[in-house]
Amino acid sequence: MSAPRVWTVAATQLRLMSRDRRLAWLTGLLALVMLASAAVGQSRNAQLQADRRAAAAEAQEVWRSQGPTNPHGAAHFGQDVYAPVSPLAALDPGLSDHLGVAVRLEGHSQNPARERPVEGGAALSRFGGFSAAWALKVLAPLMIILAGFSTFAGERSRELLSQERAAGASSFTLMGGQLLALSTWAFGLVAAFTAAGLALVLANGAAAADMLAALAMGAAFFLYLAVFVGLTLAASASFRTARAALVALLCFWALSTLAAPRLVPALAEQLHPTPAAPVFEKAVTEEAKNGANGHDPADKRLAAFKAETLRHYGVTREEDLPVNFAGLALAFGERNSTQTYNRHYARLFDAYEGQARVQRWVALAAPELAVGPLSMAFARSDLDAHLRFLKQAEAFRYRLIQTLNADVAQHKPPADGPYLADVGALTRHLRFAPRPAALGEVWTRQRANALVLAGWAALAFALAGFAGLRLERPQ
Amino acid sequence: MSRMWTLLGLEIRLAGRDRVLVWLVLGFAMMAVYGAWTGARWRVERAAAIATVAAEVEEVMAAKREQFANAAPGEIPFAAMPQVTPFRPVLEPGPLAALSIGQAEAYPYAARMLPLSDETLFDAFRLHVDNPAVRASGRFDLALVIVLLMPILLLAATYDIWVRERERGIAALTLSQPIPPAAVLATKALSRILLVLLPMVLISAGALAAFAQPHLPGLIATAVTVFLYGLFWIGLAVAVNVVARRATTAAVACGALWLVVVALGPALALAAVDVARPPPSAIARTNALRAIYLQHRAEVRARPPMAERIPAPRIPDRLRVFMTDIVRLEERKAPVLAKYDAAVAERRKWLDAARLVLPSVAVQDALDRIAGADADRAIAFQHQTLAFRGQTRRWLADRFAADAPMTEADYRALPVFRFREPDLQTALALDWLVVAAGAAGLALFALRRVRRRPLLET
Repeated sequence: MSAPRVWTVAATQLRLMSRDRRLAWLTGLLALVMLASAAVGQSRNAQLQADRRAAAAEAQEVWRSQGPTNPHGAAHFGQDVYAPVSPLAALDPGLSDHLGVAVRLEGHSQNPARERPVEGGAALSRFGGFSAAWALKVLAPLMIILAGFSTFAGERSRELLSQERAAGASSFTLMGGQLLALSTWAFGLVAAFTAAGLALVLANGAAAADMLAALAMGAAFFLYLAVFVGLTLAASASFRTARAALVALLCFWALSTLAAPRLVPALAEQLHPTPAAPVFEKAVTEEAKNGANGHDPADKRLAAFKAETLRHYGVTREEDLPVNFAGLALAFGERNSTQTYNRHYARLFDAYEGQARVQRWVALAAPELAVGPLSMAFARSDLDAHLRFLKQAEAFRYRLIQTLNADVAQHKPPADGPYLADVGALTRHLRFAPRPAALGEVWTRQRANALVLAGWAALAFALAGFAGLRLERPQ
Repeated sequence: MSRMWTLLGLEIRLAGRDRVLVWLVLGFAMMAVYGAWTGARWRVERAAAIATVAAEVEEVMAAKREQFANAAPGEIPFAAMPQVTPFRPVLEPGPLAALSIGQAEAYPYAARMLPLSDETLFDAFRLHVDNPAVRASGRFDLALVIVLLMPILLLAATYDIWVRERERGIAALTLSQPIPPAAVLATKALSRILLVLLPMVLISAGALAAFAQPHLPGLIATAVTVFLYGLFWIGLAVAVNVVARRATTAAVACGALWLVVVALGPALALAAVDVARPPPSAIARTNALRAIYLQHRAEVRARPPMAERIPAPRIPDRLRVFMTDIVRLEERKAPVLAKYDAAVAERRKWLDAARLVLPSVAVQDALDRIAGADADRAIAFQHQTLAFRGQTRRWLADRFAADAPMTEADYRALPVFRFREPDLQTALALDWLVVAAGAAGLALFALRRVRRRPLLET
C-alpha cells in the first residue's frame, strides 16, 4: 500500500461524495441541525446563567434582610444556592434537564437539589430534546452508514472494484483511501462541532480549561465516528449485497445508539437499586432518632453530651455554664445529623457509581455508552459535576449552620425574649462559590471510557483492513 | 372481490413462510413483556412510596393518642389543637400503570398537608434521590416499546412490500391480474396487518394484562391505540413503496422517516416550545415568595402583644390570629403564584399542541392517559388537593368558631381526600383522531400516487 495512492483514492472518493447531491444535502442539514442546536443551547444557557445570577443575588438579599432574628430560626429559614451553568453544556446538555438547579441549605437536613427543568412537562417531554452532541452521537453515524454501506458491496461496486484493481490499485490501498475519505468527512463534522465549542467558550469569557475540554470532546467524537467509519467499510467489504450490509449496519446503529442507552441504565438500576425519596428520608430520620445501630436514642446522646459539657466547665447546672447550652446542643445535633446524612448519601452515591460501572462494562459492546458519559463529563453536565456541586453546597451549609449555632452558644438569651442577631452581618464572611472539577480530575474519571472508544476505533479499523485484504481473493 | 381474497390468501401464505416476520414478532413480544414488567416494577415501588407517606399519618396519630392518654384530667393537650391535624392526599398509580411511566415522575404524587399549609405542601414529593442518569435515559416501559420500537419492527416487515416485487421482476405479472393496482397494494398491506400488526396488538394487550391490574376498558383502549399507530406505520411504508424504485432506497427512506417522526420531529417541537415559551423561573418565584414572607413576618413581629380573653377560650386566640395571618400572607403571595402558574400552563398548552401534528406524541399521550401517568391527571391531583385544603380550612374555621378542641373520636371523623379521575375520553379521542388521520392521509397519498403514476413506471 503506497501512501500517495491512498491519498489519490481518498481525494477521488471525497470528490465523488461532494458531487453526490443527496449526501451534500444531508451533510449540510446535519451541520445545520448541529450548529442551530448549539446556538439554541447557547441562548438557553445565557438565559439560565442570567436567571441564576439574579436569583443568587436575590437569595443573598433575602438572607440579609431578615432583620434581627434568632440565628436558629434563620437556620430553619435557610438559604438557597444554585448550580453553576457550564458554557459547554450548550453543546451537550447531558443530564441538565433532570438535575435540580437549587439547593435549600437549612439546619438539620441535607436537601437534594430541587427545581428540575423537566418538571411540568407533557407527553412531548418524554421524547427529549436534541443537541449538537446528540446530532454527532445519533445522526452522524447514520450518515456515515448511508454514505459508505455500498462502497464495496453490490454488483456495481464489485465491478468497479475489479476495474480499479486492474488499474494497479491493491484492495488494501482502496480500503485505506476509503477509510481516509470517510474519516475526513467525519473530521469535518467534528471540527465544526469543536469550533462551535471554542466559540461558546470565547463568548463566555474563555477559560483555558473549557477550551481544552471542548477539544477533548471533539477528540472523543472523532474516535466515536471513526468506529462507524471502520465498521461501515468493513461491512461493505464483507457482505455480498449492499442490502445485507445496510441491514447489518442499521441494526448495529439502532442497538448501539437507541436501544443500549435506554436498556443499560434500566439494567444498572436493577443491579444497583436506589430508594424512593420518602423511603430515603424515613431511613435518615430513623437513624438520626435512634442512632446508627438503632439502639442509641438521640435523647440519650444529648444527655451524655450535656453531662460531658457540665464536666468540662466544672459546673453541675446548665444555668451555671458560661455559654448557652442550647447553642452547643444545636451544634452537637447538627454534627450528628450531618454524619447520618453523609453515611446515607455515601451509600446512595455508591449505588450511582455501581450503575456507572455497569454502563462502562456494557460500553464494550456499544460505543455510544462510552462517548455519551465522556462528552457530558467534559461539558460538565454529568452526574459527577452535579454531585461535586452538591458536596460543595453541603460543606458550605455545614459551615453556615455551625456559624449560627456557635453564635447562639456565645449568647445567653435575654430575660424578656429570645436572643436575636443580625444574621446577615454574622455570616457576611461566608460566600458560596462552587468550583468545577479540574480537567485532570475529569480525565482520570473518564480514562476508561476513552480507552474503550480508542479500542473500538482500533478494532473497527483492523476489521476494515482485514476485510480489505479479503477483497484480494477472487469473488 | 374473490380475486382479492385469493391474492390475500397467497400473500399470507408467502409472508407466513418469511421467517423474518416470526423473529420480528418474537422480538416485539420479548421487549413488550420486559417493558410491561419494568412498568409493573415501577408501580410496586411507587405504591410502596405512597404507603410510606400514608403511614406518616398513623405515626403522628400514635403520638397524639399518647398525648391524650398522658393528659391530666381537664387538661387540653397540644394534640387537641385542630390546626396541626395531618393530611396526606396521595395520587395512587392507575390500574394500568405498568403501561407507561409517562409524566408520573415529573409531578408530585402526594402532599404533606396541614389545613394551614402554604404552597410548599407538594415540595417533598418533587425531590428525588434516584440516579438522574437513569431518568434521563428514559424508562424502558411498554409505552416506549410501542411508540419507539414497534415502528422499526413494522417497517422492517413492510419497507419493501412492493419494491421487492419490482426488483425481483414479478411486479408486471402481479399487475397483469384483473385486480386494480391500489387493491394489490391494499391486499399486501392487509396481509402485514393480519400477520404482524394484529399479533403485536394482542401481545401488547396480553403483556399489559399479565402485569397490570384487571381493567378491560383500558386494555381495549390500549389495543385500539396500538392498532391505529400500527396502521399509520404500515401506511407510511406503503406510501414509500409507491415512490421508491429500489428496496435500498425504500429502507433508507423508511429509516429516515422513522427518525423524523419519533426523534427529530419531537425534538424540534420541544426546541421550538423552549424558544417560544421557555419555562418561567421557579427560582425567581421562590425568592419572591420568601421576600413576601419576610415582609409579612416583620409586620407580625412589630404588632403589640395580643391581649388574652377572659375567660380564656379552650382554643387560644393566638391560633385564630395565626390563621388570619396565614390567609393574609397567601393573599399577598397569590399574584406571584398566579403569574407563575399561568406561564407554566401556557407552556404546557404549547407542549400539548405537538401531539396534534406528531402521531408518535399523540400515541405517547394516549398511552400515558390510559396508564394514568399523564400530566393532566397529575395537575388534577394538585388542583383537587388545593381544593381539599380549602375544605379542611373551612372545617378548621368551624372548629375555631365553635371553640372545639379535637378529641380522639374527632380524629376518626376527619375530612377525607378522594381523588376524582379527570375526563379521559375526550383527550383520548383526539389522540386517536390524530393517528387515524395520519394513517388515512398516507393511504390517500398512496392511492393518488398510484392513480397518477402507474406502479411499474420507472
